[in-house]
Amino acid sequence: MKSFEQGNEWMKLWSENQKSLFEAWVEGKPPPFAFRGEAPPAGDPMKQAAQISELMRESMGQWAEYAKGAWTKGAGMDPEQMKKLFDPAEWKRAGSHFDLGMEKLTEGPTYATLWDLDRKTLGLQKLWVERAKAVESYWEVMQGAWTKALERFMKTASDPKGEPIKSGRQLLDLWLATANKALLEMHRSEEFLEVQRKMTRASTEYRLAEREIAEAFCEIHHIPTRTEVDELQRTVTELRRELRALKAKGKV
Amino acid sequence: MRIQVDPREAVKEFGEFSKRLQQGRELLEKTRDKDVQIATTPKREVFRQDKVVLYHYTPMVKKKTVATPVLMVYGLIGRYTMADLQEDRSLVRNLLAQGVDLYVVDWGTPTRGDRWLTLEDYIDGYLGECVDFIREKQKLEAVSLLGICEGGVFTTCYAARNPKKVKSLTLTITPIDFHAGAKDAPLHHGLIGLWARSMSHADVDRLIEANGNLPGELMSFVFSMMTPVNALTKYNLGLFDVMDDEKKLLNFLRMEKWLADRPDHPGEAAKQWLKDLYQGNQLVKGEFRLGGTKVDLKKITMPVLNVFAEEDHIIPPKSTQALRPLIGTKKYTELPLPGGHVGVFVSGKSQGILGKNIFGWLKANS
Repeated sequence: MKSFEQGNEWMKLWSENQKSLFEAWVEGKPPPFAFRGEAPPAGDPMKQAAQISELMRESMGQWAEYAKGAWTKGAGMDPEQMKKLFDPAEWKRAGSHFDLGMEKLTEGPTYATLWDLDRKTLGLQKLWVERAKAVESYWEVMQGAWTKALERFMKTASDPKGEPIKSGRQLLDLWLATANKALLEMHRSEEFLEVQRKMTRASTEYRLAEREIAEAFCEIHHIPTRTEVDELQRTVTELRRELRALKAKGKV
Repeated sequence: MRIQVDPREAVKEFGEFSKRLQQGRELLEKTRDKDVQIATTPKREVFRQDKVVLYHYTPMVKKKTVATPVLMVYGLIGRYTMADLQEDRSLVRNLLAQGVDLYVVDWGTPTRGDRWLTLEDYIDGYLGECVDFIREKQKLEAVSLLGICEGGVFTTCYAARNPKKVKSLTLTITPIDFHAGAKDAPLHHGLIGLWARSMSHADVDRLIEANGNLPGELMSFVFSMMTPVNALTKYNLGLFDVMDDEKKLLNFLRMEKWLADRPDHPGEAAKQWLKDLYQGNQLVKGEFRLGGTKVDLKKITMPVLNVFAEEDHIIPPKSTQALRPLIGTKKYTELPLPGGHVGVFVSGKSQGILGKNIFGWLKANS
């Protein structure tokens, strides 16, 4: 089938590039760029970087074309989306094409541990977005309180019936007292408590997902994971507790 | 228009501001860390288990005026150094000066390795070991306990579970009814309870799972919500107000030093503190369990002195006062003091009153 031929061709090119990149890395030489058969860019490092970036964009454009045909029928990828997916500039933002693309790639059938780390990374990306949204909602509520404080302050400060304000410090104290009251009212509100709760939870979930990825790295590199150390510490605490109880009973 | 600032007065005000700023800058520049020492009353280590250390304060007078030694117990949110902030603001020195034989338990600085420690470990375990050490050392049946804030809950539970080992129980700014609070209370009162109850049990569990412990920084943030503008302005306006007066400046810096030294609260114990007590209010309901058995406050049969701050925004007076009908003794005394939660210990106003009253009561009941 045509789509398979395209897929195979792409796989071949990709493998060749990976192989030559790996060999160049091992030998400490610049990659030969077998894909285009060109010599590596020489001279100004900035120009080199720009050329490499451009090369990557072009490569991904071609890759996307191949992948379009190789992909499951009916779930074809938009080449523009694919280009954006591999554009390094896109990776800087959360909730961008990068994680949407990754989602598309990893939402396929689950084959044991295939793509497992990618799925975890995607999960972390999503939680990062959730956390960013929760923080934004929190600041929105906070901003509301400051706006309310300013409105009240303007009203009080311009009220002709109020005590005259004769110094800068008096004016500052009035502003601070007004702001304090508005902030406290906000801190007690259901709306604030809920956004604060959501922000805390979102940060917590993000941190836990981050730990999962760190633990995957630890496992690969023969380093004890956080979970394993926690379990060890739990055992020590329980042993200390038992020892104390035995001492209290005079059995030790 | 209310704003009637005379330009000449404004120039004068600005001149004074600049002068003060200059004086303050000079004073701050010559202030060193050694000038800002806290908890300096001499003491020696007499017992240690894991990170927990029991100290015995060096007597300040030859004659012991109270027969039973007193063990001071602070909580895990903050440190005991608050009771000995500086020489002229120290409950520790006030009691020692009157001949009280005083010990203090220091819980140390918990790390992630302490995340599995429970309230049982602290109350039955470490506190129990400290009490037994003093009893054995001094060949006594019982010691007197002085609990502060969360430490007051620890001593209350210990006294209920070991009434024969406790001669008298002094509680200061201690929460008993975690849901209590006056309806007409000021806005900044009881915010910790609101925060704790805004979370679900799962929120608390996940928070502890992610951090191991309840981070000290998080608790500092929650405390700062109760005085939001003060928290935002204390290092500019607050500092400016005291920076040209050496005594005031050092008081300010000592307080900040204590505030900044907020350890993490061990995780499992924090879960019990937040879920069972702040959310479930189990102590006042008679449902709070330690080591599988209910804490029966009726078993508190020794004399009790309950000290609370009338303006306490962290532990409302009603929360503390809830103890009276729950305990099994009629020898119950309440001592309301002017000031806020920490102010009771560190304000100039309360210095004489707190130490003097506790000493008088201890002399009569220990």
